[in-house]
Amino acid sequence: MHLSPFLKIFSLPEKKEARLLFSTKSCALTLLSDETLAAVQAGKAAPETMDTLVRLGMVVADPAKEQQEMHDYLPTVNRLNPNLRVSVILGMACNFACVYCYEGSLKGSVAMSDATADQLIAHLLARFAADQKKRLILDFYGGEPLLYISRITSLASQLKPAIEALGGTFNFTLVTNGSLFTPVVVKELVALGLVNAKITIDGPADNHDRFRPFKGGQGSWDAIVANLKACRGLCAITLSGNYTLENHATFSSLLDTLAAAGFATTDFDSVQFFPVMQVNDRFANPEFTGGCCSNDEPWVHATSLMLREAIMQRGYNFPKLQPATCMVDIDDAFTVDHDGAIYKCVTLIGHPEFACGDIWHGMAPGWQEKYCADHWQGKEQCRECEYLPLCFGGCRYMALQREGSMAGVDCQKDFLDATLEKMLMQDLKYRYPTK
Amino acid sequence: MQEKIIVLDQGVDVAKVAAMAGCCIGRPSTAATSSPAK
Ligand code: SF4
Ligand code: SF4
Repeated sequence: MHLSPFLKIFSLPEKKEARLLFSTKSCALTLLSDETLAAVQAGKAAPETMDTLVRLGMVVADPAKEQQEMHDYLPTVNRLNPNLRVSVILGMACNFACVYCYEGSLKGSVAMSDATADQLIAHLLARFAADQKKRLILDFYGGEPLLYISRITSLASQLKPAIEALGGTFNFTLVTNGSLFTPVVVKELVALGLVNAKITIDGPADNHDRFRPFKGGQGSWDAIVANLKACRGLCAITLSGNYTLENHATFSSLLDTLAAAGFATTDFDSVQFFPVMQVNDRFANPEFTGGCCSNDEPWVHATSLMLREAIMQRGYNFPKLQPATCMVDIDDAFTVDHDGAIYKCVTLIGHPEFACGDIWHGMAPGWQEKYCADHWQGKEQCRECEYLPLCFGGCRYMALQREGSMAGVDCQKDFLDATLEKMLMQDLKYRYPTK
Repeated sequence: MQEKIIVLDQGVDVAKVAAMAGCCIGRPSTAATSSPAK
């Protein structure tokens, strides 16, 4: 037996004789002694020890086969995927004017028509049945999706019984700015299948109101926090925030403000802050410059660790590390724009050069080439990379913004080299403190 | 010698990853990595 090529081994600063083992393939995490690890490597460990490590994918019979299996991982994900997952852009109207929004000047009054909505339902049901799916999950986007509440209720009230009649489950999520997220709305939507709402607050009120004002310029912080308070417990809420190099240090104070306002850590399903990506698209606000073009900018390493610590330290749930897939690689995941065009990422709506077909005709041949599907497969550095399961070539949109093309990978290696060990130490301290 | 392994996290198998696959704004599942902000 051998150590898996996807195994990372770290020492603990305070416990010299202990080793922390992390599998990038399964994201399993174990602690054992230096001596036990030596016994495992020498093939002399107790059978129970070996059994545990094999079960966790940390020890394998054939490392070359293990690597080969990882190259076939995405086809396996596609084979086993029980869900049809579709992001639906209901329209481009928004009542906010966030300075960094990647949709930028694409926003406006266009919205999904009744005829397109009818065809969307027909397309989803046909695909759900043909692919023998178990669950349909829609992610409603805009613009601001709650400006289209009647469209959401109409789609959900038709799809829910139709999917259930096929023996499946129907759910949906919202990516909303939170300003229209009221108990009356949320209760109505939960009854129709709403399971999660992702709401963004950019740190303390003064910062948030500068970056995420209403269209008329007024601050939106008070309205969002009041809505969150009123909707606690009605559906799972994912709290996120978008920070820049200049304002990241203020973000942790939001967590204290929320606690002082009476929120419990359990009021949020998870909390996560992200560095804003610098978008150099033709639609983007040319005056916004504070984002990052790569996770490899050193300030991103430092700030992401600092804010992760701030979130975990206060007892909020920060999502666990897990193998990450891009919508481009998932056969049964796509984005439908308000006009019925299909894309393989929500960020590429409005770019006809990246359209992949439409809901009347289905996927058009040749879309894989446009999105450089499987680009990492041709790269030696990726085929042999210990981080492959956490990356699979990174985010194509990020590569496109940075390099003007998706052909090259958006490599996460330097980022993970700089942060993985520290993230695991944070997990040890806050996620598994009693162990 | 008594060998002791403390399993902190069982991790996820490919079936579980498949059940979660889909929409991802900027791969948030990986880490605190950058995302197209909206
Ligand atoms: S291109 Fe990037 S943002 Fe788009 S689905 Fe893939 S990982 Fe997510
Ligand atoms: S892009 Fe970089 S981190 Fe990702 S799999 Fe390839 S070499 Fe590894």
